[in-house]
Amino acid sequence: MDSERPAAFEAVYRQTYGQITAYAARRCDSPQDAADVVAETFAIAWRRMDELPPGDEAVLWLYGVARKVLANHLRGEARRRAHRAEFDAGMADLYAASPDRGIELKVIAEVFRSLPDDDRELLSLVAWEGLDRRQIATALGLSRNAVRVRLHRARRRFSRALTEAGIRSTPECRLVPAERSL
Amino acid sequence: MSTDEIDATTRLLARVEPGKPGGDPSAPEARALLVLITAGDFGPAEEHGGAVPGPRRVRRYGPQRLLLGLVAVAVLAAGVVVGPSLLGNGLGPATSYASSDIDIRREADLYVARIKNPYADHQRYREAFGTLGLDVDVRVVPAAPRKVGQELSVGVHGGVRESSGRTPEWLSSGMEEPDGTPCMAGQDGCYLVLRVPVGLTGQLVVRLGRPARAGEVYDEAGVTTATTAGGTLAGYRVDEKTVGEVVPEIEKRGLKITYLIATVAPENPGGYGMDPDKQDTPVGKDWIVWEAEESAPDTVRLIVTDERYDKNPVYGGPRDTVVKD
Repeated sequence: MDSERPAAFEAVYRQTYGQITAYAARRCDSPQDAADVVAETFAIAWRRMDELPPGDEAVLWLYGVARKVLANHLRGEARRRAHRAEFDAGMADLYAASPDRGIELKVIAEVFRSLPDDDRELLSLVAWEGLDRRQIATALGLSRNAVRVRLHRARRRFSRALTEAGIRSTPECRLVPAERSL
Repeated sequence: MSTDEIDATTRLLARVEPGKPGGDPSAPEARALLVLITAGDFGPAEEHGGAVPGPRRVRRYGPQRLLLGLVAVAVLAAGVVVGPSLLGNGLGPATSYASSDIDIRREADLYVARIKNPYADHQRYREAFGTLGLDVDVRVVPAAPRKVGQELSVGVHGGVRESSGRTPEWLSSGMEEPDGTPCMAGQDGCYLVLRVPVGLTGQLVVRLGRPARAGEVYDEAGVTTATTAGGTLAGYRVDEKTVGEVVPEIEKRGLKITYLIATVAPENPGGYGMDPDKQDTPVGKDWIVWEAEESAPDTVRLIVTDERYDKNPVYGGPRDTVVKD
């Protein structure tokens, strides 16, 4: 079993690395922080391989771990940067361009940052990671109904906060960002 | 905003575009990290067990506390100390409050506040909630008729403590008779009612709409579109017309006009901003109107730009795709 462990881990690592690095980069203000979150998340996964669900569920489980790592990280827990210069430099590339383009986007970004942490996470899991309610429920350890209710409230609060913050437009519509070519 | 609009707005903020990977697992840095981890050279700073190790004060609630959902953990982690008064052990402050300005009483998991005098100094409301151990700052502001009784904006610095594992009800408001029947502002016994979860932690700042008095301008959050059903310009479209075209039509209806000079981001991604320094610019007759809002009972505000854009920035496209009259 132990001899299979590195290979099994590497398979999961290769399968989920892109998603976990994206997850971390979208939520951390600096590449160093994002690198910390990715490294800690996979280090935890390595030590808790037995709990790692198979297949597509693995990335949901890792999102849940990354979320906790991030929460701890943001509380100023000890950082582990030793021997990681190369990895940090790789993450830095993701930060070359700021997504906050234009006046409106800056304001929207500020409003978004002012939302409760849990609202941001729910909105992000939908919009950035493209998860559906079931997947969010799995990642966060909530019931699907709780996800539905909280997501509804998060969207409502974000909408209101945008209006309040000067992203003003008419109430029937407000802002309809044209789809960026993604 | 619709669900799709909110999600589209959120997508705009993603540093790594949705659907795209952050990094390549075959890249040297990714290989380096993999080697470090599998060689056991890299361990996290502390054991991340089943639950998130929170701030020390969380622990006084015992292990059960730590098993609550992430929401509760995050709320507690935000630095909120839940005082014994809110834990329902009978040692807390009163559970109701009454004055000529506001009555508050507890109904199950909610405090129900009836604002009897919507013109009172907001500190009166704050003091009232304060006696119940809540930090709630209610501002009752003039709003267009369709927004009276509504929460115009809500800010929470903190969260809601989960009680007995149940999802707490969030706040709500409305114009209500004493028995809870919805009613119209101005009727006898019709009060502005705000419901706040008893488990509220941190500070809640909420703006509620009340009818405007003569000469009052609606609060910024209390404006609505003037051209939709129920609006003062209902039936008359102003979008994509020139200022010179719409002003006579609006004045014919006995309404005054003000302007909001919109700032549109490069490439007109949808949405607009208001630069306060540019609002004094004289508006020309050839400027483009994108929408009209109610700004006071007798005044509409035209959202204008000095040039024509490829699509209506207010709606991110034609108004018809958003507003179904």
